[in-house]
Amino acid sequence: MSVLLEVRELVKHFPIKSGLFGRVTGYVRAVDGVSFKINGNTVFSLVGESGSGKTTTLRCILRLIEPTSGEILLDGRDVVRLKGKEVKWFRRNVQAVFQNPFLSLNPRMKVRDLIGEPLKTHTEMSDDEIHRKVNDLLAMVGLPSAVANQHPPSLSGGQAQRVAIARALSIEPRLLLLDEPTSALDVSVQAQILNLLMELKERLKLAYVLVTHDLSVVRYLSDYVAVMYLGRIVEVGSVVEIFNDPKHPYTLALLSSIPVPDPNVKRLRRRLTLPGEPPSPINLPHGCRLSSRCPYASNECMVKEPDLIRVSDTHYVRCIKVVKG
Amino acid sequence: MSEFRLYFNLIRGSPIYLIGLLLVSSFVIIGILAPYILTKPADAWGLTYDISRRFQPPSPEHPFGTDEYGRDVFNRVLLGTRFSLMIGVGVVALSLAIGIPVGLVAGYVGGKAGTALMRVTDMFLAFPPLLLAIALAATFGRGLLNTVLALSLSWWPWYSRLAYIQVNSVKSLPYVDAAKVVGVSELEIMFRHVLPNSLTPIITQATLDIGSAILEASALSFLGVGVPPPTPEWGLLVSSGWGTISRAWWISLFPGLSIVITVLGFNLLGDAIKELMDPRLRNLLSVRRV
Amino acid sequence: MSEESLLNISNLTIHYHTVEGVIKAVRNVSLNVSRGESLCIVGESGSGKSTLGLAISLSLPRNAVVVEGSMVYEGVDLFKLSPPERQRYRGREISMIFQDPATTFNPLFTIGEHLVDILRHHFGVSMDEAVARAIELLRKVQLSDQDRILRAYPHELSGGMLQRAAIATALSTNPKVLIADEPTTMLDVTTQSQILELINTLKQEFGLTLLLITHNLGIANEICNRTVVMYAGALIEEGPTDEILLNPLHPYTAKLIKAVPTITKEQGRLSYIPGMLPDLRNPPAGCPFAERCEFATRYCNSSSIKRVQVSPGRRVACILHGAEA
Repeated sequence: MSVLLEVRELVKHFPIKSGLFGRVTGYVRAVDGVSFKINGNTVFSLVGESGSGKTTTLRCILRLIEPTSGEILLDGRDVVRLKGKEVKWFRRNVQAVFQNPFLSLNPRMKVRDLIGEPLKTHTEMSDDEIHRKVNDLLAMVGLPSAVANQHPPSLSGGQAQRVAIARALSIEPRLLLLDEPTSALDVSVQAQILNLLMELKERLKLAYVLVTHDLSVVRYLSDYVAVMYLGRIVEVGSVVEIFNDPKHPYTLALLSSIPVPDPNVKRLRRRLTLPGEPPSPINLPHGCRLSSRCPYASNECMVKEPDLIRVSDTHYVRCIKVVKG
Repeated sequence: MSEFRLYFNLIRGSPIYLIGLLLVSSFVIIGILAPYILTKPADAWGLTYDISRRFQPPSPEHPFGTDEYGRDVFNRVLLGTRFSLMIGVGVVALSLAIGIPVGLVAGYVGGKAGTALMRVTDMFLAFPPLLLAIALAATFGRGLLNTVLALSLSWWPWYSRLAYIQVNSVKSLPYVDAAKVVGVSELEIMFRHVLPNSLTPIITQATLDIGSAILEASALSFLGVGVPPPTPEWGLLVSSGWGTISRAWWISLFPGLSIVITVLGFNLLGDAIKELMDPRLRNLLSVRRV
Repeated sequence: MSEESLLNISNLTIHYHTVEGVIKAVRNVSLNVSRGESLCIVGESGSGKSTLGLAISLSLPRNAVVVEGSMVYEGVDLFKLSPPERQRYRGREISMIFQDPATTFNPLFTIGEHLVDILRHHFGVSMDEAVARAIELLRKVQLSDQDRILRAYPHELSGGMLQRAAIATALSTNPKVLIADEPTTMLDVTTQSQILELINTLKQEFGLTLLLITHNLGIANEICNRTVVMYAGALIEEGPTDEILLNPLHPYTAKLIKAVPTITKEQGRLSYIPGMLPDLRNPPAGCPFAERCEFATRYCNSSSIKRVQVSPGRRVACILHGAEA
């Protein structure tokens, strides 16, 4: 299968300004050299804790912020440098669903107008055609057509997120970016949305980039997973490789810190607790970024940051301890 | 819609807010109906002159007495309500018409153009609004329209500031990002997503300012730079009785009271609305959503 | 099983008076808490779990009304006490920490000012003694660099550190009961596991009775030996956590457990709960879950359903398991 989206050496540094004249006194290195590729009809997850740079990466891909350097290629065309009509082409192909539907849907617009807005923007459809298409889209996400005349605040969380999904899919994009799509929802509602996303992916042959801190959602939806820590991908692999055979100490720590609702499991057998909290992305540690918290860190780790090391064709890890066993 | 019912329920629960609502709504109703309920329209419009009836104290025939030209003060005050309403609404509407676009463009577009617009706003804000209005009114000359214009020119910067602050907070909300991702043009985002969601607090503030606009218009008329006689504008009526206040207190008192009561009504309603905007109460309202 | 009862709640009903009407947040809840146990209150949004927590910690908001019921703590019905008498219990015998640790602190005062103030007021000790005790408390919650923390304002600490400080504050008066309302929901997963471990350690050290309020079944599994499940203001199931997770009796509990995606295995479609929470202004007279329940019969809607004991320590409010209709 051909590559749909490729991110190459993406860097985003936010300047820290201080004083009366806004002198730049440092940089928050939010994303610091991130690369990955996604094929069509696959789900790629970026997972990490706050400050890992996963959301900044997503916002760069969506052209909401401009990267400091690096390339983002959709069908081989650099997204960052698109202009005019090309931007429309990009928008038609790449859409997004955000965390809280009550914040990502304009509360003053009717559901019908919200879902119809992308169609109005990108197609020549008549009002009648849009009307019918909106009803079809509502049916597709499992909502009755009566919802079309309501405003978002009168919907439940699950209904509102379905509306957001219908809106994003109205212009038939090939890639959908999901920014914590179920974090604001209750467990029983989350399950419905996850099922829906899975179903739509198969039916419409969609590709997803999923950004989340919730590893159970990642496991359920993804084909490939990249684990991020302080602006870097520290491990990437297929969902089975990452969850069954994590190689990076941070991945292991992340997995073993998730409480599992199964009395027979309690926690993963291999356990790793990291002390302390991530250091500030302004003053990153020398060498490996995890070295300040990693129980396996040696002197070597403090000196040079390792490259991604190949474990299998799909599995790479940024840790020298893996090679040395 | 349900929000309005909710406001209504809260206002209904408090007698003070209810008084505010009552005062404001009766002011508006009288203002609209005034020309049709006058008992002595010619007196009200200031077309009569009857020296034999001048300076009569309040009586069943003339509940608010008569003025130096023998006109019925009650009728003049009644009709004055309409002028006050017109001036109040006119000033606020015109100020909004200037202030909102300036604030919207400055807030949403930002950059150098935005900064320049806000500097102009700040320049206007540097003057005390009433002083600026007096100076402008004196320059424009007397007249209803000129009074409205003078007051509006001294008021719009407040709305432009408020709009600027609102727009700045709304434009960073996720639904604006979502609209960008959909590919909606900047102009449409500004008018369809940002503006409608910025308006509520501005409109609320403006509605309450009608009271202050009436007060300031009366001040201009009282000082002789506002509406010209024989228009029965309240400020003008107060001023017309000022010279003879020791002899005929009723000429100034009743229009004066009208101003006080109207402004009081708007302030009480304002307090109610401020309480409704209180985030603690907001939380209470959202209990259902939890 | 002859554990000493510390807290006995019976027939507790709590209403919120809002401009939108009276919300019946907690209805007819009875609960017995033994000294030294760790009990989880599990539920989704609108289940009434937080309201129950606030009621037990005697910190219900002003618009909440205890309509009915008693709460006997060490032989005293706390709802019958006058407000000044109640002050002797609130925060002293029964302490609480919240999802957002910032709610514990006034942003204008340092952590040290908060702690020292409470310690001096409560124990009547000297300034030096209070500072010494504050440092000791911060050490107990595993905050290093205690001097710096004492001088720090709440906003200067990370979420994890602030929650530790909030725990120190909650424990400063040597309470017997600690109520933790979603204490890790706002934190990253690696921080979450640190905080949960800390709460467990402190529970042993201080001999606390722990009431943990959570939506996360995994946390219930890890921390608490006993769990109660709430739905729409009613307490529907009660029992040892392991038994509830392995063999849920109430259809709602069963559905909820199946709706959670897990990191431990691959899953097909997740089961979910159709329908919505009933309107809490006008909750159904019978089982609150009846209208979403696949096993519902006409008896479920009739009168209120009593919880029955199905085995020692195991109670459920469902007619499938013999509850009286």
